[in-house]
Amino acid sequence: MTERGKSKKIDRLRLILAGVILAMIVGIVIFAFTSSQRQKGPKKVIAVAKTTDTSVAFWLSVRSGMEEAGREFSVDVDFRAPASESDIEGQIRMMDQAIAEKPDAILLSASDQHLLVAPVLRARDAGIPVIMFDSSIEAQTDKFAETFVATDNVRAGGLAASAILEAVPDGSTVAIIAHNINTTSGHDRESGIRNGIDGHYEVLDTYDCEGSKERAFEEARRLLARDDVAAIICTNEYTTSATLDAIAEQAEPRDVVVVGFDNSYQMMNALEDRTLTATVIQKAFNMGYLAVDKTVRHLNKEALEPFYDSDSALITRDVMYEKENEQLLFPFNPQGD
Amino acid sequence: MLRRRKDRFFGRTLLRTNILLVSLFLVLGLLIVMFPFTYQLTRRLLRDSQTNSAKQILEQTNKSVEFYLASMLEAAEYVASKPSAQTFMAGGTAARSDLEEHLQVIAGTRADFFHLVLLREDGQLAASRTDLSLNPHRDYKEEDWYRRAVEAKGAAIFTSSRVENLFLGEYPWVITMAKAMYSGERLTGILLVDLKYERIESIFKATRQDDNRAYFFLVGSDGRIVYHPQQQLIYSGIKSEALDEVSVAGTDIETIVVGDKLYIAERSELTDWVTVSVINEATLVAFPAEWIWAYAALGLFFVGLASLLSWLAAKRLTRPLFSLQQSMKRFEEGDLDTVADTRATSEIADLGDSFNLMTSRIKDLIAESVAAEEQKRQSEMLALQAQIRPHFLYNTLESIIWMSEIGENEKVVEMTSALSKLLRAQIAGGAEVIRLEEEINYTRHYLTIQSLRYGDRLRYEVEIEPGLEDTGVLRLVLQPLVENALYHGTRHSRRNGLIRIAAKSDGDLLVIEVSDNGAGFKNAANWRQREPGEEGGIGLKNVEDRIVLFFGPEYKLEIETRDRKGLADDEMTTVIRIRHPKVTL
Repeated sequence: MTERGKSKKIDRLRLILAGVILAMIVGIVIFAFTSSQRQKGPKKVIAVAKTTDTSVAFWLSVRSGMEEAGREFSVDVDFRAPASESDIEGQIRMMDQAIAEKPDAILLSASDQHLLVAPVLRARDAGIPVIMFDSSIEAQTDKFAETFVATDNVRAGGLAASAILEAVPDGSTVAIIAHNINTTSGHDRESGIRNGIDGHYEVLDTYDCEGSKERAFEEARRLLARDDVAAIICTNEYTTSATLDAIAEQAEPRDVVVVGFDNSYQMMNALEDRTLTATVIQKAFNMGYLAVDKTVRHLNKEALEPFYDSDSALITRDVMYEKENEQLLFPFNPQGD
Repeated sequence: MLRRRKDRFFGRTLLRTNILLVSLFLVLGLLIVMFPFTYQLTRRLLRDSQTNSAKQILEQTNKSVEFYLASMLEAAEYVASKPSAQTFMAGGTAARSDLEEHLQVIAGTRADFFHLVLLREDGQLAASRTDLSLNPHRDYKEEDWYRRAVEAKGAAIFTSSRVENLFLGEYPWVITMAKAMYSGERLTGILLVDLKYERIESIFKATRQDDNRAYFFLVGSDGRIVYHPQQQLIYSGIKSEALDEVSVAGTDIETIVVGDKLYIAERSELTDWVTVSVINEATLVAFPAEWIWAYAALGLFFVGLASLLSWLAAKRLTRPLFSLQQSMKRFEEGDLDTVADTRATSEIADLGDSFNLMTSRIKDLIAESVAAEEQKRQSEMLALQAQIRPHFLYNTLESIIWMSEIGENEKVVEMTSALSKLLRAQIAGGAEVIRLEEEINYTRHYLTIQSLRYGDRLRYEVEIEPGLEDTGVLRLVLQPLVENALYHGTRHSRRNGLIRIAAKSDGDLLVIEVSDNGAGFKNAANWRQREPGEEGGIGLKNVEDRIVLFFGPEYKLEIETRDRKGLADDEMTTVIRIRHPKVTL
């Protein structure tokens, strides 16, 4: 009886000891695990953009926004893109290369909404989340990406419309030159513009120059030759430039209101000499920053919305040197190193 | 109910378990109590060191910024003091190319200068770069810096970072120093120096720390940002900074806490700009998870170590206890020769020694009690032997028969009465030690019977020291001595036998002597070896054995004897003496 009682007690003692030693081992394992986790280093993401052309300030701003977020969240951002925006094959190759490198995530601005669907699916199959920025893939397949960070182009179109409403009296004739109605940006901007001005003006059929600056230039010439056109709205940088070129070419400049999108030095000068009434600027730095920010949130298992607006701003001559606009218009010092 | 369960857990558990639990509670308690202290302390140290390093970097940064701006000021003062500049500003255009050459030299030595320009009120200008033409679309007199420079009346003013739009087709990011120039009281124009913004930017970029734990920014005298790593995010409202709070900072380092950010701000006397260091409190509050894990792991390790050590200590402590317990169990089971192992700590060794002492004492006591039992048994047996032998009874009855035949009725009554009393005393049993008077009376009954039988031939005397009557004496020791004196000393003598019984006190002893006037004790030295029936035979031996058994070997019988020859009839020859301890009943 006493023997049995005693062996029971010894059993309890052994149990406590075993538990304690187990706890000790668990503690050491956790410690070792966490310190090895720490040595794993920062997360790595690869951003595949449309072009590395440094003359396009937009992509430089996107890149610095990404790098800024990378610094803030301790993420290594590897920014790459084909030399030309039209090199779709090159972008697909870059996607496959990125997938082979097994980063924590891939950020993509699709230069073609159809042809880039397959690479996105391949990344997904490899277990790499894809975050779209600036330009997404086809509407039916964009659910395969985690989210889409871009300018809300319908809203941006609305901003352009508001500039027209301010500068052009009701009942006038207004023309729209779209860069490509089959791209989401072209389509959305055009519908944003139309939503804003329909009913106020005689709006001509939207001219789609299908990615050609020359065709935009020709169309601008045609429109300038018409006396009834009081305003021209251009949906991106090169259509705006083409229109400004067409105006500059005129012997006697016609008084026409031009509202554009994006910016260039030519456009800055045009704003200053009032040839360009207003331009709608995307917040490229914000777009880059937000794309990485959302990527980090996704990697931290936070739920994401399907779309984030990186915002846009309407710039006129009066506000172009205001602090909050200066950096949008002149993101980098041309004399800089 | 709960109480009982508690008792069961803590009450009768192993010592080892208790020691283990105590040390576990101790270590855990210490860890739990120490955790908030250590946590707070580490946090404060971390925060202090971060704040201090931030302050140092802040001062360094401020110095670097001031250095650049001071150099601008120097260059401006130098240009302004040049006679060619004075002449140009006064309205002379002849000095213009001279002046421009001069400006080029100064700008050429300083890579961080974008350009130096002298702007005359009439719109003429002299610049370090001649390829520039004034922006026709902008009137610089409407610009903020122009207004401020004129208001400053000749003192230099610094703008915050801005895009210079003075010249056509170029939009550099600069920091502008402007200084109004006068000819006497008349405002002649503005001296303008543009410093490349990247210079300032690069100073701040170098101080940037990863993951936004700490960063620096610069606020201009107008309360707007000159440099901020996330300027665009602030303008877009994605990020915010407590600009209102920091832009009122003084020239001494100030620490301001707004929300979860710690701002350290210092105003430069030269530029009136405020350099701000930001430490994210959130990154401080979010204490490194590894620290907590390390604390927990270390804690667990010490808990383990404590229990291991206490287990070993308890084992060391309880092993001798266990061995002692084993010894006790063996002893319990009857192995009286068990000796406990006393190689242990001194407390437990003492316990072992005590145990060993106790077992040996118990062993002795048991032996003693066994011996005492044996003695008692012997003594009882001997007392039985000391009883009246049957032939005495037979002789007495014979005497009674013939006495009644010759009609000696009185003697028959006397004798029968004495025999009856003798037998009653003998069978009364009871105590081994009785009053001396009782023993004497018993002997008297015996002597009465014998004197009736022997008539005049037997005389006896009894002398008892007064006061000894109640002294205790071993029963049936006197009668055998008297019987011995009668049979061996007196019976066969033709003289009249005389027996004297004397009891006296000798210190602690009661001395009883039985003397006779018989023939004397032959070979008194070796009386103990005699056969029963011989003089001194079984009777004396029995008495001596019983006394020795009862009181100890020092209480042997003493026999003194001498030869009868030459002695008077009444002189005693033999004395048998009992030396008996006085026993109080």
